[in-house]
Amino acid sequence: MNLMKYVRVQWDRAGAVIAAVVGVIALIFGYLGTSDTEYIAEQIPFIISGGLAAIVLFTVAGVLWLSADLRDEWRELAAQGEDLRAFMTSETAGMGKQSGNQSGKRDG
Amino acid sequence: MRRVHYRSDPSPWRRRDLAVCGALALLGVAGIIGCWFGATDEVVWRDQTGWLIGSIFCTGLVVLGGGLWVLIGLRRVRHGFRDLRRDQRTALGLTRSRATAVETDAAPTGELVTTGQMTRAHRPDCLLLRGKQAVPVPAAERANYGRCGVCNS
Repeated sequence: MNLMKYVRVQWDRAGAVIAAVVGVIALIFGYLGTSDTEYIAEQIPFIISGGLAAIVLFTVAGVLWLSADLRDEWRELAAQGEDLRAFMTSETAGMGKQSGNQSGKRDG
Repeated sequence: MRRVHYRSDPSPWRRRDLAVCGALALLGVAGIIGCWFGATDEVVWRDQTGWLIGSIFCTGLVVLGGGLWVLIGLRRVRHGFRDLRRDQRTALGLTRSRATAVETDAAPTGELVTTGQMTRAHRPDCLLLRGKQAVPVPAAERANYGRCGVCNS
């Protein structure tokens, strides 16, 4: 499967990876920014834009990844429900056919 | 409000969940951006602490929104599996109706059993007696024993 197709199908997992990578980049830039200056007043904006933004991005990544897992579980549930419904339909049809055969024999 | 069901709904989340969690997250992100602008405008770090605390609070909002989203999803999936198990039991004819179990009186003959160490009287087919040596409870001593909540003795 090529990358674009994978990204289109697994958009939530791809988004999670992108958010995590951007979070790491924000963390590195935040560190470089704070270590570049000795004034606290110049460091605090870097803490906000680097550190806290990285926390937000990691949260987004985690939420997207877990949502993807939960969506998979939900699809699995739906598939099992469909299987159950198909089983019930076939069972009902089989029972109907059986009773029809029995009444046919009795009549014959 | 209609429950989310695994057969009819394409995803465990409703539009309302997306609106609530998304609003929390957006509010948090907007707050962080606002606090960043506020902090960069100040030149004294003491004046920046308010903005820093505000941005930490806004980060908490984003985390809260995300956590809520995941928790709602986990809960719905758990309920979905419970519904599926119930549907499977119904399909296999194994449904045990709690209502009928409650309505049913104790064994018609009134026979209840216990073991030497139990303080409650049970029906002879009670799950709690599995693998244990049961002895009948005489009718006169029945008042001395409690009732079992598992077999509704």
